[in-house]
Amino acid sequence: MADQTVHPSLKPGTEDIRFFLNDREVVGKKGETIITVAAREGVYIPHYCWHPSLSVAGNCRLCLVEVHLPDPRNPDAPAKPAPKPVIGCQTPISNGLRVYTESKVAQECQQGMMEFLLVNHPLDCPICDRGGECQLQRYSMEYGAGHTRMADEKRKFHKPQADPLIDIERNRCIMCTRCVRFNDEVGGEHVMGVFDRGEGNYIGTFGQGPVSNILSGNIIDICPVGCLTSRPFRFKARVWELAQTQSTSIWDASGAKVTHWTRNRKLMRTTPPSRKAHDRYTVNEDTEEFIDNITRFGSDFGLHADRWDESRIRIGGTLIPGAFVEAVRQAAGSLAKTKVNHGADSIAVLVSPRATMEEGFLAAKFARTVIGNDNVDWRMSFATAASADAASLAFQHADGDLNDGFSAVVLVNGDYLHQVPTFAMRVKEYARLNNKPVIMIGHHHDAYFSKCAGRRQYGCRPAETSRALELLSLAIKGDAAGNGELAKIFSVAESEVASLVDLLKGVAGKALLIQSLEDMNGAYLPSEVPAALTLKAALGATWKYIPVLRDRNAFGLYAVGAQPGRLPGSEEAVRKAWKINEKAQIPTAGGQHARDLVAAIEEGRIKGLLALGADVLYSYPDQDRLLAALEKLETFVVSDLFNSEITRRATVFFAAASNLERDGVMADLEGNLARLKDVDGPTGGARPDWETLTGIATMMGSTAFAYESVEDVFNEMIRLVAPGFRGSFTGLELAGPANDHSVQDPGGARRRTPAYNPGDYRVDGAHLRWSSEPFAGAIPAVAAEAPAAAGQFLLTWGEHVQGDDYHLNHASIAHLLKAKPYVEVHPADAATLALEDGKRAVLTVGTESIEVTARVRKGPAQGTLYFPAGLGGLKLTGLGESLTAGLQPALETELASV
Amino acid sequence: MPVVEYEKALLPNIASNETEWLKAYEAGGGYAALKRALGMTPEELVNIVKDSGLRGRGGAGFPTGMKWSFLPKGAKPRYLAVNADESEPGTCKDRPIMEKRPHLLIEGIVCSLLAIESEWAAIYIRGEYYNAAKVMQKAVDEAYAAGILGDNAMGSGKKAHIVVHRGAGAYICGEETSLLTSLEGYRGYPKLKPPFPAISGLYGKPTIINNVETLACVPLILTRGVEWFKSYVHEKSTGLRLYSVSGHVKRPGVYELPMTVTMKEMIYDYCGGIRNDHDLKFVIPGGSSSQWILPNNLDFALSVEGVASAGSMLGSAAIMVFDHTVCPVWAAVNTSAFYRHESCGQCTPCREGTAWMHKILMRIENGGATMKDLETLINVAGDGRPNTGMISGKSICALGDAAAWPVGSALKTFRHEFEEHIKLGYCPYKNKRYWMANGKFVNETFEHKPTWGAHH
Amino acid sequence: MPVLAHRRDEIERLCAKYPSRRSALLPLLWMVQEQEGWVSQDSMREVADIIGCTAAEVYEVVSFYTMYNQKPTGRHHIQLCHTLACAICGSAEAGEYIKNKYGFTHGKSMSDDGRFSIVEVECIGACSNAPAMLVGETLYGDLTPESIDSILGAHA
Repeated sequence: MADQTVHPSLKPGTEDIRFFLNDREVVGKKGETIITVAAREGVYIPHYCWHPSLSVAGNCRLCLVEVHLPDPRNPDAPAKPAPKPVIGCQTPISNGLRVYTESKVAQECQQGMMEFLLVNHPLDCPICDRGGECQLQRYSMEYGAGHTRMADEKRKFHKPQADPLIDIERNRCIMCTRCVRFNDEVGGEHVMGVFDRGEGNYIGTFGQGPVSNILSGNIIDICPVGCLTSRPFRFKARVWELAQTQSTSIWDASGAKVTHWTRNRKLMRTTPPSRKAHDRYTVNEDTEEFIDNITRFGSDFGLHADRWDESRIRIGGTLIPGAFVEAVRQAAGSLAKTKVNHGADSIAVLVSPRATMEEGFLAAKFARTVIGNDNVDWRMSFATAASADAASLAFQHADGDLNDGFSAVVLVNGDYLHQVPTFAMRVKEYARLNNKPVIMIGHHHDAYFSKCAGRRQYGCRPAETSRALELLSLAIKGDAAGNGELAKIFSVAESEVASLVDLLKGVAGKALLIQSLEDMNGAYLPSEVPAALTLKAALGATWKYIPVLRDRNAFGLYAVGAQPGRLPGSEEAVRKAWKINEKAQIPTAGGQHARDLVAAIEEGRIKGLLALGADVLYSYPDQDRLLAALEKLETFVVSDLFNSEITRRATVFFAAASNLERDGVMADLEGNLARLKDVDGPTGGARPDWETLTGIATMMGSTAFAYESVEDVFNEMIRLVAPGFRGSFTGLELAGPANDHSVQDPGGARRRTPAYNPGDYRVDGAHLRWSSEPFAGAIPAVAAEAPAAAGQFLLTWGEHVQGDDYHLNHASIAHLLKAKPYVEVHPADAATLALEDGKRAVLTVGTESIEVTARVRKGPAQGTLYFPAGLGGLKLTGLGESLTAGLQPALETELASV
Repeated sequence: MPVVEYEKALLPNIASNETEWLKAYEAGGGYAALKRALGMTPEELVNIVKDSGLRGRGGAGFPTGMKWSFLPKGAKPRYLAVNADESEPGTCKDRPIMEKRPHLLIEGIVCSLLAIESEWAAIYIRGEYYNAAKVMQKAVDEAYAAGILGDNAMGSGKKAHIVVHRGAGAYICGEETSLLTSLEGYRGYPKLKPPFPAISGLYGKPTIINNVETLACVPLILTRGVEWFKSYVHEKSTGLRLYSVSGHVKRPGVYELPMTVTMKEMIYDYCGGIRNDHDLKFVIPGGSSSQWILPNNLDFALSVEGVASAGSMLGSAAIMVFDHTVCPVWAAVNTSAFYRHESCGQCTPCREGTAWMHKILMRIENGGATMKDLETLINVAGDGRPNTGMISGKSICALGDAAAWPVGSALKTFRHEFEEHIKLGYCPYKNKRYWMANGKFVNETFEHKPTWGAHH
Repeated sequence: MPVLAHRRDEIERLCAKYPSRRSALLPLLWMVQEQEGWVSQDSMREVADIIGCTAAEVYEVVSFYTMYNQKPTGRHHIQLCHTLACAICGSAEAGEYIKNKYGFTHGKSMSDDGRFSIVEVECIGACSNAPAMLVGETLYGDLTPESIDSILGAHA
């Protein structure tokens, strides 16, 4: 329905409005509503249905306040009481308005609404998970009458068995509709609804299906009562028993902040940052810092039964547990021996994309100063070394962020919602609410943006994206000769191309060019990145660039030089910091790319490997080949959490500290820092990697690794990486914001104002940016792929957070978090196949076939299919060659159900 | 008393079962008003309607011309929604307009489209009015075929389009913003006001919602003149009005009368008094949402002001008459059941309050209630005046008020009977049998007279 | 099995009458019900596809409005008003009469032979002809036992 109300997180006007709050004069901005200004002035107005990130429903009526209205014809006369109380969440402030939030009328409203809500609410507190952080409990104590007069039977519902992650206890629902609005607006799909009418109405999904989107878990937090609760967490603990640690997600390169709730060091649940209500921190029901389901439910992988928490040394054919010191000695010794026997270049260092900046920094320092080579890398997910280098070129030119929004956004390819969920959410919501143009170019458009009214989609084949960007930049610079070719690429009329060019040229103010580096393992990046950067240069200085890679600390690892050819700072500064002799060479060339490592091992050029994390090795697509190669190594030192196929081939195994067991810093897509925080030290004999590397380096004779704490490492690192940094390691820790912070600053968390983001570069000066020069390089040509045969499609793919992942595989409910394979198919293609959305289909690539669900979306370009690889079943080791695939509706059998 | 006969301008053919199709309508002078209106400016049309004093006939009684003038200048497009949802219990006067004189309504719509500079109107007809919807659709088809509707209405170069749209069973969709939400294709949820529909209505655009009878008056005002309309006047209530009278009168029906007629005249003169020589117990003047009137208080005019002076509201002019066989507690139960069933469920006070009131009332009627329950009920429902009690004035829309007022009013006017029910633990009227329309259903074995008379 | 597949042209003409396609949702559901007698879950999915919304949104609408039948009805569906004006003029007795005489056993709302189904509804706007009922799409007022017999007798 047409939303008549003003969204809370839209920016208010600039005009001052003076009014009275409980007889005190206060000032707000035109367009603000009573509730936000009141919160800012320290007056909290109780509310259920209003949420800073959602449209205004105005249905709980708890925020009713008494108002007196001035007479416009007689401004000096005392204001007269309005005939009825008004809701504070939707009523805009006006000059001379007198608002009373604690008067007799207001109190009667509050008591009345509380009594009404408790009329049908079951007395479940003793068995309800929400106890202790429940808004119904809280408001009953603070605003309720203290007794009930209800003597009749309460309405009762059957309990649905709908969602594996979210428990729905319908009797407790107060019909605030936050969950319905969240799924519709933020989640992107109206998958929950209000059914029936009146007292008996209830919330559910169609046909009792699951709440199926990656952000669905957030409705658990924003539900003010215990209706929607976490099933994995059900009955596990009382929230007041839990310790809270403010940390960051290791899954989402968006840089999402989290609170880990632990009991006796064991992770019980993960939520968005908690906030202070009175004297305690509780879950924040007004949170805007939504997290994805993997972050929420998948962060406990450190507790898996396969966890190895002691260092091990290979003696004979077995890995024997031993003391850390022994393992360090053994690792140092064998690496030194390999170096002596085969040369410095025969050893490679691999770093997990989820490593902290300190760990990446030390790994790079180790490779360059202790081993003496340039063989350090983390970029295993790229098809070729050239792709990885193109991604690094992208990082070199990254200069964008979402601070203060944007006037327009161009998205090049990408499946953002399923790769960097909360970043996608912030971009999409800003564009949708502020009606900004969203121009989507490439072989895949993220269907998550389908509700953005300003959306324009231009589809093309994968190999053509680069050419399209190139022609577009020419057109913007005034050369329209290529418009015809561009029109053909996009299959639109030439006038449409001209109108797109005009639109882009007409954008005023800061705008964003966002490019996904995830598609097809980066196969086309060597051409696409230069093309995108050329477009950026053509568009002008107000356009900023954000390359998107889902690896959590990609930016951070790039910053600290944990890859071939990069140093963490200027050579001079590095020499000084690392105490390198003026005459000595710092190896910064010819380094071993991660992706070529397996071949190098097979060919005997690499004999020794130090890997921080087995997950980086797990990303290599052909695991059989990888495992065979690992067995060829003379020295294989790996620091990891688990007993796995990979770690069992180690010669020395170091038990690493998990995501909850170590401190460090990570960088996000926008170049901001976030603190990973240790809860209570590593498990058993596990050690954080900074200790391991310090130990090995020192034992190999280095004197430059004299660190006593990870903070020492950070201080050295940050001085090189961001000389302008004026904060501190502990200063980057997140403290939960105050109770009403979300209320007084709607949209603030999404805008990442410093109160929510201690690592904000505007505050601490650490802006991870490298090049401000417009790109002027060449755009390599790309061979056009052969068109698909009749009845076939070009197959495109990308990563998916719910897919095969080394750490996710070890989460306690991994089987509930993984998504089933699906294929996105364009509606026109679906029509020719007689394929309906949600129906089963068979995808055939070469000789392999798998069953998938068809998702009919204006996502893939016509003639192409988009398959989230990693959802399993197909070995896409095509390494970037364009593949063709067939798709047919599955035969319906009696057993098949929709 | 001799019954004064007045002319029938809206429904001269009310006694007929025939529909006045296009040919007959034009033969009787139909579409002359539209021809006149096409030669006027929108401002002129709005002023004529303002001058006539026409007030909405749906229930709220808002001055129509003033409502039209709230549209922001220049904002286009704007829409007209015709409220044919007629669901207020007791009301049955819009249906005869649609079934018997559909072109009167169409003409009124097109004249109004010209006045408010809109090109598109939807007639939202409640789903239960199958026949009215069919008749309206056929009449609209006739009008399109005759060039009255279309892109070139009557050759004027202006567009006038009407869509006949059916509801599907929801009283709440008679609330103007809820009608718009339903028309948009959603659950019939009222919208928060402000902003008001004239500023932001259908699809977020400026929209006017008018009742069927209101629009049917417009052609009459244009042809017969403002002075004629104003010649029927009581205080600020002008024009002839359709009254739906039902219940225990000898002659229930739809009566077209000026608003100077008093309640006493209506019941005893026009409708022949109470059936079977029973006593009047109470009367509801304006649909089930209005406050109950006692027999000692019938000398008021049936205008907006007149009924207000008697402590109730004219509303949709639906008069329901109850004789002494009706238990007021039972009537309150029936009324509250209606609102419980029809509450949309959006907001807390109405969703929970309507159900709670009904539950308590059922226990008072059927046994198991205490005096404490009565106090609670009075606390929740209020005393029948606006903004008293826990529901009225606190809900998103007026359904909360509409649910609370009759209950509050019943409690006030018949408090002693509620107390008697509680003391007895059962309903003392239980031996009653109802009478059907021709009084021939089941013989009465009933004889309950209250031990003390109506008071206050 | 798509029930509206053969009426796509008619549907597009319907959608074109409204400034917004979503407004055709209630009329489309009426189309389904008039054709099939009731609205099934499958047809809700089909309508969702035509309109371009989710099935949950269609079910929200279907379950809000009382006249959309979510189960099949009898051959002739009776809607008997039980609100105030009809209630004081004998609607309860009329309902009892119908249920006793026309084959409704044990409080069921469908007669045993599937000929009639009955539901008590709120005010249907025939107050001055109370008590009143709808049988199929036709309104009957001023009910008496005789008139009830005559009306229902004519519905085989």
